[in-house]
Amino acid sequence: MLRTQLATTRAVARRLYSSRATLVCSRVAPRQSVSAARAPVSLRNGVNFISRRGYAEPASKKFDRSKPFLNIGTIGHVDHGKTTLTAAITRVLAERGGSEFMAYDQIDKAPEERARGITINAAHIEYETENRHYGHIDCPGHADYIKNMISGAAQMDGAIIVVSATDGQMPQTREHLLLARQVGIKKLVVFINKIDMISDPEMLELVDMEMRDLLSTYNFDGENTPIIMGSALAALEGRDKEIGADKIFELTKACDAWLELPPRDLDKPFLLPVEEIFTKTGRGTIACGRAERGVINKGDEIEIIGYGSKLKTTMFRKELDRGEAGDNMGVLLRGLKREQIERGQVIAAPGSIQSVKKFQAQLYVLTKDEGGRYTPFVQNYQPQLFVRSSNVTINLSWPEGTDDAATKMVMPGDNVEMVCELVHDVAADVGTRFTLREGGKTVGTGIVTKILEVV
Amino acid sequence: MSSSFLARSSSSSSRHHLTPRSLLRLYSTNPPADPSKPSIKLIAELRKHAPVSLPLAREALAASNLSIPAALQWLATRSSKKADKVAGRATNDGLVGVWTVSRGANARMRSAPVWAGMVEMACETDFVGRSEVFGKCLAEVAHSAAFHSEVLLQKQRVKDGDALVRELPVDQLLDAPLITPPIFGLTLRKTNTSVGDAIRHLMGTVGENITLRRASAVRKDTPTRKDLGLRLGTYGHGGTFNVFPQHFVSGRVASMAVLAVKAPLTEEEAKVFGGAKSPLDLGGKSVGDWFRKEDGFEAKLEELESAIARQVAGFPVTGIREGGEEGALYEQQFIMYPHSEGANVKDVLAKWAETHGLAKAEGGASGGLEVVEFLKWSVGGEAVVGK
Repeated sequence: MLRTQLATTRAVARRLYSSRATLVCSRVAPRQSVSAARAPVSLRNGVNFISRRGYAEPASKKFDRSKPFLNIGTIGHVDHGKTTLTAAITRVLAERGGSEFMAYDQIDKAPEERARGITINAAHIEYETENRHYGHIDCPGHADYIKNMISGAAQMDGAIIVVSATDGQMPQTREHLLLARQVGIKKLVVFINKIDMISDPEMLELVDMEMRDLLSTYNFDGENTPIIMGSALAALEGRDKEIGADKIFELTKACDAWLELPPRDLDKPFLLPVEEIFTKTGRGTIACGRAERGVINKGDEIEIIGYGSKLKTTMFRKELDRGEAGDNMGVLLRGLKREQIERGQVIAAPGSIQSVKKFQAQLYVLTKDEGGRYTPFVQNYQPQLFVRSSNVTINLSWPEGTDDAATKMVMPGDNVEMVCELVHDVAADVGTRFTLREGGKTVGTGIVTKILEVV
Repeated sequence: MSSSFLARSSSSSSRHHLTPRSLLRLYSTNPPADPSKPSIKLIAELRKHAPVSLPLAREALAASNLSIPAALQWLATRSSKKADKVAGRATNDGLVGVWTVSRGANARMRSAPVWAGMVEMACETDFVGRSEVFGKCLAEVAHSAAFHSEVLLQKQRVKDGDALVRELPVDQLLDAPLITPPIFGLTLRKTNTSVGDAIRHLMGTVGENITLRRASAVRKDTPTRKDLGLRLGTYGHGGTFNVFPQHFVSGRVASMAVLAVKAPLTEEEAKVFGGAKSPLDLGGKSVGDWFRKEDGFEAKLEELESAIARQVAGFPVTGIREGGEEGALYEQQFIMYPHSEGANVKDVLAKWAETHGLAKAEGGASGGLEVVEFLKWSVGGEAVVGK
């Protein structure tokens, strides 16, 4: 009896999961889904669900989850060898068994993808080092990286800046570093390419010196950032091992050592957006939803956040002692009435998330072709904000100190930083993603960058 | 020295640096045996002044006795080899820039011209489009387009009829001398650099192909019609080079709108303007009086002009009066004007004219405020002209 019940919830979960995966982007899947890590847990409980959990197994190739996953991007000038470097990395790692070799012309396609209805130009490759699994992103332009970041199609956790030794840094290298800052990258690795075309070692010193200067100017750790010098082409062609393959391997090692892993969903504090509420006579109120992050145990204290309320209670559940991120679950809340909780609120570990009334966010406004607006808007535009399971009317305005704020306009296709003021408060954090809708169509998507007012 | 450079340039001209090894060797086994070898510090110093590639910086210093000013001069006279290499690649990004020389009639000068140049420059990635060097060059080219419009358009007068905003021949503009706006201060360029040279120089600096896709200019004044003044509003959406917002706007979409301000004169006054009698009989009355009569008239007009230019840039317009409810500028709700209160462009203009005393004079010809022409360009898109 119990097993059949559970099997049905699993089926729903699977459906939810798979629809979301296609909706957001299949590349995010490895990080969002933590179900494989759960396997031992359910085994411990003596119930083997593995065969039923279809979503744990990727459709085509088996994804090894034993290594931490990190999204990395290459940024650099068109001629400095980004694609060659990417091909070289896959080749070098393929020789060591950690990748599938991707030839130059296989990579340089930058296919258009759609994530949340937004068209994104990006090439995706993946490879493994000894310690990590990398998703590798390469976009053609600034706007593409920004869209990528806002929509969450492939959030970059770190980046490799590619600079050619023949040119050194260029005027647009400044733009590359600004971009890295804007998408929230804190640490970079620099690869100085084409050193076989420079005869004078002093020149390489100069490039190194200039890069460190520039990194420091843009608040990166210029002194300690690893700068690797080599030739991606040599590695790709399999010649001059010392400046080719060895350097590429050194680069991947530097990435392993220097770039920091983002905290895994499981390690974060518990959060469950409330989707449905039921009353069970004699027992209490049950709130259902899909746990977004963290782990919860029976009897843990939790907080209910959003829509002006802040309640503390303990929760317990019958079927399993423990719920984790990715689980579609229901929690039975002790001493809580049906009216005290509603859809759109979140159940969270106490003190882990705030209820926010006003925040600053980076927005991408969808173009007409992406299904968005076809006319611009000015400040005090009021769309609906959809975040997790809640939706609230918000008011968009320019941050304080913006020139010509009253007349400054936002056109479809723009990405802008704006202040969002909510009619009701909802639970949000820096990094929370949301969607803006108006009259039944999605007009924009965004990510919270700064909390301005909490309840 | 030069032979080794030739070797490098020819080898790197093959795409994506799939360089034949033999050529590479030639370069690397033949290091330039120059006694006056520039030091790393000097090269770094030079690159702070001019963002050129390392080997070029070294060559410049070697050729000019290790003196930085001389090296900068040397660089200024030299068109980059890199430009040849990247020319011909697809340019799908870029910016449209508008340089305004004069916004038209004002309190001091009734017949001041509306005078501006608009150009579209394309590059390969928006990283370059966002960089300062690109924005600056775009401003200079737009400025040059404005200044050369008179000469370049002489041949076209018949073709375009009485259009105010005219398309300039791009190939001729490329050959014309670059005119740097005086407010940019001194620049290190040899005199008589052409617009084309400046663009090639930029190509060498940023290592991307850059093309001048189209250019237009407006230059018109109304010395003979004292009751009429022209005004210009411009807007550029999303440009990052905003050092002189009064003169230069840029962005992926940009627009220019020409407005006419007509003073309401009595029948008699109008006759004087039309006839041979001296306007002095009227006490020198002209549209300039309206600019002087009211405090802040010009500022308010400027606000309205920019709103019109924004409306043109942002909304799907196809004409001024033509185009139906969707496309006609006059029929659209004037969202970009903060004081429009939901009215359409036509009504806002009429109301503005009335409030500021431009409406019909007693028993005389009516004055008013009208949009007479606009032009909108978006990067890679079709031009939208309203007449």
